[in-house]
Amino acid sequence: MVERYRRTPELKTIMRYAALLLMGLVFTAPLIAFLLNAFARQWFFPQLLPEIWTLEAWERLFSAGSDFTQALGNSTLIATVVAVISLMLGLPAARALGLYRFRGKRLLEFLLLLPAVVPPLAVSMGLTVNFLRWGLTGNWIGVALVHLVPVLPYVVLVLSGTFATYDIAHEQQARTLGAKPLAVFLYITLPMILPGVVVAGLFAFLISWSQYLLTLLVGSGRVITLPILLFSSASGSNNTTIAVQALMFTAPTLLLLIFTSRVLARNALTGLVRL
Amino acid sequence: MTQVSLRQIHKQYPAASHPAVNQLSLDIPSGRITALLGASGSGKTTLLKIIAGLLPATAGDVLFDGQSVMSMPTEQRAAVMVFQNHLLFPHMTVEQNIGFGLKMRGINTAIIRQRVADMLALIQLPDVGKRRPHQLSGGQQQRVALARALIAEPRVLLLDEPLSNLDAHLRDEMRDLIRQVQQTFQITTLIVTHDQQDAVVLADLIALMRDGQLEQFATPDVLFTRPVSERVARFFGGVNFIPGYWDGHLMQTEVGPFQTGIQVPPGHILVTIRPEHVKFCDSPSSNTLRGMVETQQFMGTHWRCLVCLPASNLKITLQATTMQVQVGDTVTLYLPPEHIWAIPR
Repeated sequence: MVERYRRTPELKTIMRYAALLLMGLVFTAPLIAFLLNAFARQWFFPQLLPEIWTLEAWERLFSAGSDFTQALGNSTLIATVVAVISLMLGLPAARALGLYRFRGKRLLEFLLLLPAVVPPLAVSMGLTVNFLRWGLTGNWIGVALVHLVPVLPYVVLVLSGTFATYDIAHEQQARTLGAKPLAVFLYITLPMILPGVVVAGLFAFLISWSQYLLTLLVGSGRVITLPILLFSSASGSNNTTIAVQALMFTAPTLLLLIFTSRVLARNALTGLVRL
Repeated sequence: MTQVSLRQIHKQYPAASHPAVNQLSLDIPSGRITALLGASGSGKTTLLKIIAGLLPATAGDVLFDGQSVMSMPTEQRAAVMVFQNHLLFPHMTVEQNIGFGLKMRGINTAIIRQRVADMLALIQLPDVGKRRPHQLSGGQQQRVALARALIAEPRVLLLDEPLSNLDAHLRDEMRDLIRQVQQTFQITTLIVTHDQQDAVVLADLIALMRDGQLEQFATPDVLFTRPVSERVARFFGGVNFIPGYWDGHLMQTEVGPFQTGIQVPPGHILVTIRPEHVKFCDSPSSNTLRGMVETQQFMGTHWRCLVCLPASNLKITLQATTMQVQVGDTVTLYLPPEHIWAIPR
C-alpha cells in the first residue's frame, strides 16, 4: 500500500509534465517554423535546416518608408489610442456595474456585451454605412473608433470584475483623511485597481492589433495595418517575408503576456471567471 | 477642541419605511469621549457618516464649534473616521498609511517621517513602518488605523465599532490605547458601539439610541442609576420594577410604601433599584419587603438571588457578595432610600 501511495503521484507528475510538453510543442511549433523561415534563404525539401542564413528580409522590411514600417506604425498608433480611449470609457461603466445595483443593470450588461457576440460582419457593414456618411472612412481615426466596438465589451468585463472585489469604503476613508477627489483617484482607486487596468489595457491593445475585417471595411483599403499587410503578403509573397511579418504581428502578444502573466494569473480575470 | 452639535438631523433612505435617524439633536462636548450606543439598526453609524460628510442628511444641521459644516465636503471637515474593518490601504506600507493625512495636506516629507515615527512609538509598534498592512495582526492593524487617524490632529475623531473585531485581551489593550491617546490629544471623540460594557468603560458620556432617536444622553453612572425609561434601565441590566404612584412624599406600591429622597414630578411611576443595591436585613422596618428565595446562582464574582414576593407576582433580584441564604428561605429585603429611583409611567 505504501508503495502504491508513493508511486501514484510520481506517475501523475510525469503525465502532467508530458501533457505540458505536448501543449508547449503545439503552441511553439508554428513559431519555430516562422523563426527558421525568417532568417532563411534557399530552404528546400528535404533539407532539415536552411542552407543560407540571412537578415535581408528584415533589412528590406524595416527599411525607412517601407509598407511594413508604415503598417507597423499604423497598428501601434491605432491600438494605443484604442486602449487609452476604451479605458477612459470603460472605467466609469465598469465602476457602475461592479459597485452599484440599479434598475436595468442586467439589460445594460447584456447590451455592453452584445458586440462581442454578434457576428463582426453584421456590425461592421452597418457601421461602415454610417461612417461613410460622417466621413470617417479611409482614415485612422475612423478605424480606431470602429475598433472600440469589439474592444469595449472586454474592457468593461475585465474592469467590472476588478471593481466587484473593490471596497469603496477605502475611498471614503481617504476622504475623511483629507484627500480631494482627484487625490483619492490617483492615490487610492487607481493603485488598487491597477492590475485590472493593465490587463484590460492589454486586452484592448491586442484586440485592436488583430482586427482585420473592421479595418479593411472602414479603412477602405487606405489604412494599412499589420493584419491587412499580412493577409495580402500571405497570398502572394515569399516565405521569408511572410515569416518576418507574422513574427512581428505575434510579438506584442507574446511580450505583453509574458510581462504580465503574473498579474494575469493572480486576480485580474475575476470578471471573465464570473461570467 | 471642537464641540459638535447636531440639530434635528433626519435621514430617510429611499426604500426604507422608517427614517434611519429621526429628528435627532445632540451636543457632543469638546475634548471628551462620547459613545453612541445602540443595537444594530439604531442609526448610529448613519449618524457618524453624516457627521463625517460621507452621507447627506435628509434634513438638519451639523455644527462644529457653532459653524455649519453641511456644505463642506468630507475632506475639509477634519472629522476623521476609523472604520470598523480598519481599511488600511493595502498598496501602501504602514508608514505611508499613517502619513497619508499629512501628505494630503502637502506637508514636507521629512516632517511626515518624523511624525510617523512618533505615532508608531505611541501605538507601541515602532518597527512595523516598512511592512504592508496584510503582514500585521488584526490588533496591530487596528492600532495603525488609529494612528493614521490621529496624526493630522483632527477636530473630531469618529470611531466605528473600534473594538468589535478584536479578541478579549486585545479589546482591553485597545480600550486603554484609545483612552490614553484621547487624553493626550484632547480630541473630541465619538465612538459608535453596540456593546454596553465598551461604552461604559470608554466614554465620558453615552448617547443611547433606538430607532434613530435619542433615548437618553448622560454619564454612564446616571444611565445605570437614573434611567429615564424602563427600556433604558433594562438595556443597562436593570431588572427590578415595581409599579406605583408618587405623591411627592411617599411612593405607594402594591407591595407597600417606599421612602426616597428623589425629586420627580408626582404621578404614576415605576419604582426601580439595581440588583447590587438591594440588601438582606434581619428585621422588617421601613423600605423592607418579605419574600421567599426562589433561585440562587453563583456568577463568578457574586451570588445572584431571585426573591419572590408572596403578596404579588413581583420578583426582586439582588446581588450578594457572599452566600447568605438558601433556596426556600423566607427573607427580608432592604431597599435603601438613596438607591431607589422612579421612572415616570
